Amino acid sequence: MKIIAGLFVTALYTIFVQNLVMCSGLGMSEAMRVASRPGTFIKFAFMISGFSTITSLLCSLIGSFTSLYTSYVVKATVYAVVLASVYIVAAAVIAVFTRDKELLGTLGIAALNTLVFAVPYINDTANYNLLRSIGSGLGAGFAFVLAAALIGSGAKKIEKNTKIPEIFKGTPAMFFYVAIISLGFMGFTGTTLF
Amino acid sequence: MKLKFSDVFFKGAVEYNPVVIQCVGLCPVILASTNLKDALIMSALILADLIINCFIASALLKKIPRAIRVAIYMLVSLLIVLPTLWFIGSKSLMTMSLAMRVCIPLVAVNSVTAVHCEQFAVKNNVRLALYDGIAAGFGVMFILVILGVLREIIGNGSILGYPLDLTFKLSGLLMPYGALVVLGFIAAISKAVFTGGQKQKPAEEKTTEETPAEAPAHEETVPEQIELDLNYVDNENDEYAYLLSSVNELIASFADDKEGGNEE
Repeated sequence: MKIIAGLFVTALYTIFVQNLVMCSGLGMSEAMRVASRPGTFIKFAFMISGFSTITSLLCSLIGSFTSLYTSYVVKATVYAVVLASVYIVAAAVIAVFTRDKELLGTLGIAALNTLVFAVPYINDTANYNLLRSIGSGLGAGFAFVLAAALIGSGAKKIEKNTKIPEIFKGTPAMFFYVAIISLGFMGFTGTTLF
Repeated sequence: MKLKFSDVFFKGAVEYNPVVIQCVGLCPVILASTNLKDALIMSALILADLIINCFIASALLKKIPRAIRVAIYMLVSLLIVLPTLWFIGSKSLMTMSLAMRVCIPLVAVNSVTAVHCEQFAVKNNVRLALYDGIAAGFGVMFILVILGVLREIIGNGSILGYPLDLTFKLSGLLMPYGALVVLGFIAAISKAVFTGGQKQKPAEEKTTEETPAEAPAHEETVPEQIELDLNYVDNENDEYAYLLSSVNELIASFADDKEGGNEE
């Protein structure tokens, strides 16, 4: 029970308290773009969570059973090779069993992004054990979807607002809106904001 | 007609700036622009990454399936990131901020590279791909340097580590939301300069052949002899295209729906 609670708490922390997208900007480009496609949220949540979890799990196991992580160079190499391998295996499975080109295209975006690649680094910096690493990975995907959902819902309201000056319409307004959401999430972290 | 580098550079770096217009590569821009030194390091990395990846994508990867290509971009980017990490060395890395220590390896999965390689480099010859890579790299560099200068001076009261005797500091600018606010202003200025604040064509009027990011004001100013098709939107099934076009549709849809009207 304690073990599951630790995993769950870490996942919740990653989603709400230290939302990786809003508090660190990880995967923000992808979140802003996916925001306009709410039908893909669940797909992205599971794919990003899956890749984050498997990658961080494998990286933790490699670190536990070997003494490979002697320098940043080796660490970066191992993390990247693990992520690329997981992605290629997943792509091969999809290509062979489903032949779904759309899913294959989405897979690249969900796997090879800054959010997924940063999770092993964050786990290592925070000294997470294996279970907390899994929780962090699981939380990453849902943190992404939460960010995309918030951005998408606000974007629709911004679109309808005719009082925004012409030069601020479009991406400027989007940036300001995302900044306000980010400020809100930063409030949960307990850091001094101003 | 042979396209000039200046035409491609202006279009790729300024008019279709990867950060403030296309909204790609936001993560390193937000994380690495807290001071000018980190911004310059990140700019150099991203520029090198784009040039090398665009060259390789155009020269060697055109016939490789996309699912494999995107992984190859990451591994090629590692060839730039790893020597950088080795050169900086562990001791110097430890003196850098945590954001920078995480951010340098993240260049390997930077979305600017994937978007520009997939949408342009693999569809054009090596010369144009290199031009585009250089243009996009400099586009990101402009934004990183501007952000780095502003955030360090106003947020930290220093420049390149040398303290300035400023009476006012806004440390919120060093946070991610501060970067987004500054990006918003840069995007607004960019829009004011290049469109003159003119209204863009509403989303409903665009055709499937038209590049959504090209507002009528841009088309009027583009000389006829430019044959380069910087159409970053391939087709609706193209995943990277939809990622790009979603923001372009968002931009286009932010225009007034009708003349002098409010639907509500």
